[in-house]
Amino acid sequence: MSVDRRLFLKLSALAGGGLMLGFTLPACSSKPSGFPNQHAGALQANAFLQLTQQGQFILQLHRAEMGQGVYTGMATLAAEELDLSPEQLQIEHAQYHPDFADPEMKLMLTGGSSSIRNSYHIVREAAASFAHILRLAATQLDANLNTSQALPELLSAVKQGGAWAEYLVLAGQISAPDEIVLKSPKDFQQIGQHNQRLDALDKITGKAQYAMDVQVPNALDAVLLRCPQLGGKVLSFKAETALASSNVVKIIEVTDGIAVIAKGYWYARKAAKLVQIEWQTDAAAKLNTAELLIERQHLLDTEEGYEAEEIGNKKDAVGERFEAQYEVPYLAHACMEPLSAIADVSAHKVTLWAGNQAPDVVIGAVAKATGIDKSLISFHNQMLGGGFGRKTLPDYIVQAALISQAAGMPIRLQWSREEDIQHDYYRPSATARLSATIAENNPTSLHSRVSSPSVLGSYLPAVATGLLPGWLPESLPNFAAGVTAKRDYSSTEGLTHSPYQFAYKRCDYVLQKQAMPVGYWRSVGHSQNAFFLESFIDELAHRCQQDPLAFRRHLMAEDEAHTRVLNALESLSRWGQLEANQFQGVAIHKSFGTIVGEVLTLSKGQNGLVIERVDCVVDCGLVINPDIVIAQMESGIIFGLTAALKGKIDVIDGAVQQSNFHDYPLLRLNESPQIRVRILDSEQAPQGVGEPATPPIAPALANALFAATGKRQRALPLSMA
Amino acid sequence: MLLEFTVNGVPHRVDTDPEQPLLWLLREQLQLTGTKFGCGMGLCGACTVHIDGAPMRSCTLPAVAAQGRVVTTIEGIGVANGELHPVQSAWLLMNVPQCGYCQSGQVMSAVALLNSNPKPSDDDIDNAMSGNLCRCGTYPRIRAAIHLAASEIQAVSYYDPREQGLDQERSS
Repeated sequence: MSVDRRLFLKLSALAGGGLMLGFTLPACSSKPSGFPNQHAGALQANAFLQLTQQGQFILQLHRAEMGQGVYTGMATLAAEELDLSPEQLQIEHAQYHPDFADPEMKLMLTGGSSSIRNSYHIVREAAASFAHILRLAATQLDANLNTSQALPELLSAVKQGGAWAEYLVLAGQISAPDEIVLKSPKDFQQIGQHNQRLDALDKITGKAQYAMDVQVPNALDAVLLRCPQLGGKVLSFKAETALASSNVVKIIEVTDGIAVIAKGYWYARKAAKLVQIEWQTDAAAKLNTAELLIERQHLLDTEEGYEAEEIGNKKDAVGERFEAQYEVPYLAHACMEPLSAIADVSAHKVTLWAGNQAPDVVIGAVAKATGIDKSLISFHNQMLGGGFGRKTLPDYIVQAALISQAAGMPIRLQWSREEDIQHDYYRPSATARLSATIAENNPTSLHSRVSSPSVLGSYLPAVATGLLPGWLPESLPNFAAGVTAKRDYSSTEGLTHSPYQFAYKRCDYVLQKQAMPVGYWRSVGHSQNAFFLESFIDELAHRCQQDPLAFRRHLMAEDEAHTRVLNALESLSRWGQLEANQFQGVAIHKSFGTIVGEVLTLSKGQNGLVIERVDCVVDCGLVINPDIVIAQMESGIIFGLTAALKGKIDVIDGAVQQSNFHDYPLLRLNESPQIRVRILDSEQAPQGVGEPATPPIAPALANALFAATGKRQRALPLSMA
Repeated sequence: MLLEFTVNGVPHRVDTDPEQPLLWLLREQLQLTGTKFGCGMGLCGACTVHIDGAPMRSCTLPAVAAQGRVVTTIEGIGVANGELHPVQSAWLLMNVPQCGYCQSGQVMSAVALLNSNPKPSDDDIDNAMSGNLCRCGTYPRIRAAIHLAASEIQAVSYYDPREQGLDQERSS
């Protein structure tokens, strides 16, 4: 059966998996001359778009495609203003250029579900500007041309006129207009209409190229042995036997580990088992998750902390006090693609191939590590086999560069699954105490107090050294991280700015300094804070003897947008209309500009409780590609169910105990519930979609389990028994 | 050892350590990179290929096990002339892939299922597909796509949820 090209018609995509930076850094890289990925003879209007001599439009994809759909989404935005269908654009992974920086984060970074939200204007403007130039050039070429026709028809007419080359030259002399008129949403032909993924065909035929698939001539395969305990360094090593192993080329000490380089990954891995290493560890090798939990409880007992939010007057907190403590573990990202990077480092040139969410962080970090100027470094992004925030960090690419530099040859670094799980930057483990006062079945106050490590405090020093100007003192990033960590807003996001009205509301954050390396993980602080808040609201509803959904509606009555989602959810889920042995739990949470409400329905049968279905209502503003929004809701729910039911990283003496999918399991197809998604119509600007479905699902499940069993579970992962 | 086997209809003779997993031989020596490395322990299914038609995890299968056998990878399952297998068409119609990394393995497992069971029930799909992990959570669409491939794929020219009367709502 041949593929109908109509498959690829219409509409677009949305962002996902990552982070939201609470700081901005100057984009200090010197501006490269010209634009990257320039095609010979092509007309280039701006960093985003080119028109080749053959008449092909090329779009630079400035965001990382990691499953969330930006490949389709960005093409749809550009195509709309060029009067094209998205599949008519040729799409290339953009190399670093300052014009690709996110306007909020000031970095070329994919995260915080920001791609569509923050590109909705930028990419359309780039395309509309190009379209304006092309129309103007047509007028100058031939005043008789009908420039009111659609752009592709106009270009065809120019081509038929036989002066195509002359036309491109003419257009190249026209400057971008000062003011750009964008299409009115009522005239959209692609946005909100196009409903297919442009990258799907390559991904089901094995043609999509991920880092591991890049063919670099003469690149050898490297594996890097690192200390299983956090912070360990090589004291000594013996590699004679390993070196004699077949296909092994080199074994070197580099970047706190031993790199084994061979012709073939399996040969390198086999030889690596023969290397004997004595490690030197420090205080970090004493970390234990059990002790870290106790420490967080002690921190919450103190008067310490940063007051992230206070609304109302404390004297209005009247009535009986009720308190509950919640807990979530460290989590690994477990992208299906184990980390991989290829580096070719010589004295005057560095070429890198990998999948990463932050190209300028990569270039800055590799420049810092290798001592080679940023202007000599090129980074070729690939399809990401999952990101979820893990690939905002450049660690694996820096390792590849250092191994290549030390070995004097191009190498392909491949992490194993075990290394991927044991050397992650984890979703922080966190403990929260929520308390309320209740007077005559009415809550009068809500006080949340949360303790966790700071993601920002970990990320800032990891990336800032490569981004800050060289003349700044080396200690500055660590100093800045120390200051910002104590007030890391991502640690309380979702607990603050909630739609619930109380006479008195307060939220405190107590930083836990001792920690495993932590990083941005799909929905970041919301991933645990929605569990804390939405579980506690449910507890309050039951204590106030009210229906959990009606109780929420009452508490958020002044918030029209939340109420709209909740009402739609009530109807979609047929809330309360249950058969015998069915039980429901509800949760609603806003993150990355988008409100998502979810009702999870359990059924009790011969095999105990089973998740029967999840009903989901989303208000994400204007929709670019409806089916990708639905897919991201399904994705966020299933990702969140893995965390709710299975995810847990344990650390003993600084070493992660889990290693592969047998002891760090993911949800499987037979455990995946039916999911129904309803998108609410909106004319508001597009908001995030990649992350917001994840936060509500754990509390929706916990609340449904309470309905079914009468037992309140306050720690993840949850037990279905 | 000298391994002689057929891959996607083409006979190959390759020098390899007999213990090297078939995955790395396919990826590195034959440049068939559509088959993916996910766990190295046969736990995730990203490396699924067919050996004489049966789905196998190539990350744990020693190369020697392929001696004299017929191996099919994701690059080799299209019908002919680069056209898609009905399973791939269904995947496309249902917009199944997200990051896509696991999808070669998912498609290979689904093709093997439909070869042995042209009309699988949900339980049959659970049994055949639960060894293939997907971190993006494409499971509801995989299930729907298998049913689609098994039934009306020939009748559907393209997928539009609104034409199915579901508006922007899908029961998956």
